Amino acid sequence: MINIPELKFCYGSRFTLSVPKILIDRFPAFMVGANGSGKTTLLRIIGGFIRIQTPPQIIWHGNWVPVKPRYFAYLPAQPYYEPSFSVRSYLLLAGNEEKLHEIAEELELSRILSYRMGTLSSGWLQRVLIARILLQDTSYVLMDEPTSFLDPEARKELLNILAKHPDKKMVISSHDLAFLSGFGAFVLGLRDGRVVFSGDPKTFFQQGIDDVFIKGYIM
Amino acid sequence: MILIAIVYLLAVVFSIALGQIEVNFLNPTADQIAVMAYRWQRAIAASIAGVVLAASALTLQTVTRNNLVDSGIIGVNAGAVLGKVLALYYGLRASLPMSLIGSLMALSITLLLGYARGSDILRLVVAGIVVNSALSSAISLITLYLYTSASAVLSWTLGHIRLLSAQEWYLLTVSAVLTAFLLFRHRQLDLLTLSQDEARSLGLDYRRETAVLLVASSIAAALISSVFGVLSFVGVIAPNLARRVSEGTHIHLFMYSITLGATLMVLADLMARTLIKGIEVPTGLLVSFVGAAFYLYFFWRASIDKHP
Repeated sequence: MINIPELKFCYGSRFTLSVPKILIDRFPAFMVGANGSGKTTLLRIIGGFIRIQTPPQIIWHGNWVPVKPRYFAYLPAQPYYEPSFSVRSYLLLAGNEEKLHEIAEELELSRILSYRMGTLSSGWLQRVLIARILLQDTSYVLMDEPTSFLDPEARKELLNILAKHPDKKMVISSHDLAFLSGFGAFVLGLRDGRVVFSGDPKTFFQQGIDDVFIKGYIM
Repeated sequence: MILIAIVYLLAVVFSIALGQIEVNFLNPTADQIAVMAYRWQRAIAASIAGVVLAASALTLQTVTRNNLVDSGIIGVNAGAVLGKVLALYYGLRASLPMSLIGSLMALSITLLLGYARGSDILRLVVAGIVVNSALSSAISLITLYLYTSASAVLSWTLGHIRLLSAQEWYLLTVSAVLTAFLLFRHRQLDLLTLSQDEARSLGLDYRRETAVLLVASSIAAALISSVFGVLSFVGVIAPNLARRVSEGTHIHLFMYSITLGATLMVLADLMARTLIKGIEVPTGLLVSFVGAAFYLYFFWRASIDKHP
């Protein structure tokens, strides 16, 4: 459960994000909206990467606590990695050898553990990034546009992988509505820094979609 | 790795056996033993300088995300030279404390300017360039009025390996300890190759860690420049060669970089002593020359990689 208090956040004078009090209690939760609507900013506030006066709270080991970056496994839209790291060394940044084997087996990465990060194709790279996220010892996961560089097949694979981990409480920022319709349980619609929809995906597709995107949005 | 270690040991053996005075390496006379002891001390001093400069530059490169950076960017070299120049100008005999103070002052100013309004690594690099530029003009100005001692300043700027006083050995020990500290932070340095947010989500206290690493690595390098003068480029060459031959995790990079750094310095010092009969070429000059060639090669290779 993630409890976001009413908040206002400004980037200079050009952009203001204002959010009413929201309780995210169903996962995977999706944040949808056009580019520049404030998805990434809200995601980083939820993760505690941007500190605000009254931070959001999560349930951590049974207690409500203010968020901190280390409570979340975070996949930014453009992750950094050192190309000369082997896949194994990269994954070991997030977990121990034992868990690494488990995840590598599941995502069929065992064969490429000795490859260098810089030599992977974008499909394999995405798998390795997801593996790192799943490896981290936390149930909260934040992902920023995880499908943006994937072809339809790779997107389906990603969905299959994520679906096998219902224990992970995922918050995903995306404008990929096909991804949302196949996977989401809760939707937060943003437009120009304001929350214009919150509810379940079914209602979103019936009513909310026109508020979030321009009218006549083609899926 | 074993190969590089063997090359290093060979370099040390050669630097003891070879020189402008011939020695019988296997069956030396008492005089020859004294000569060899002198060369042995120089080899050790050169090795320590190489190790510290390589490790410090590797750390700075990871923290600033720029593989062509070394401790010079933080202003420690220029600070040490300014201290030395001031000591000469005022006719002080104690030039070691002056260059140490100069180098630490330059470091503090850079860090202050860099961290004054928020911590941004790019800001720090810019601050370093500003400090370097300001100090360079001060050095030139004072040197201009030093008439007779201008060549002494120049010679020191070029960097010499030589016999050290007890005081200087002490400074070297401190810088070696700081380097050991950097080596122990290899896990944190690995995390710093990720984006700031990712590193923080994996438990890294980003601001504190970068500050600690910056300060430790620059002080280590400052100590070296206050003792030996400016030895540029070792720091750039060693980690970049290490990246070519080893995996990118820092425990590996450190091992390769420090061995390569030490080897380079010992070989450069050996060449400095033997290249021209009767005189000694400044070690720093040779290192810079090799470094310049490496820079060229690096850019050349990099541009080929990008446009196949």
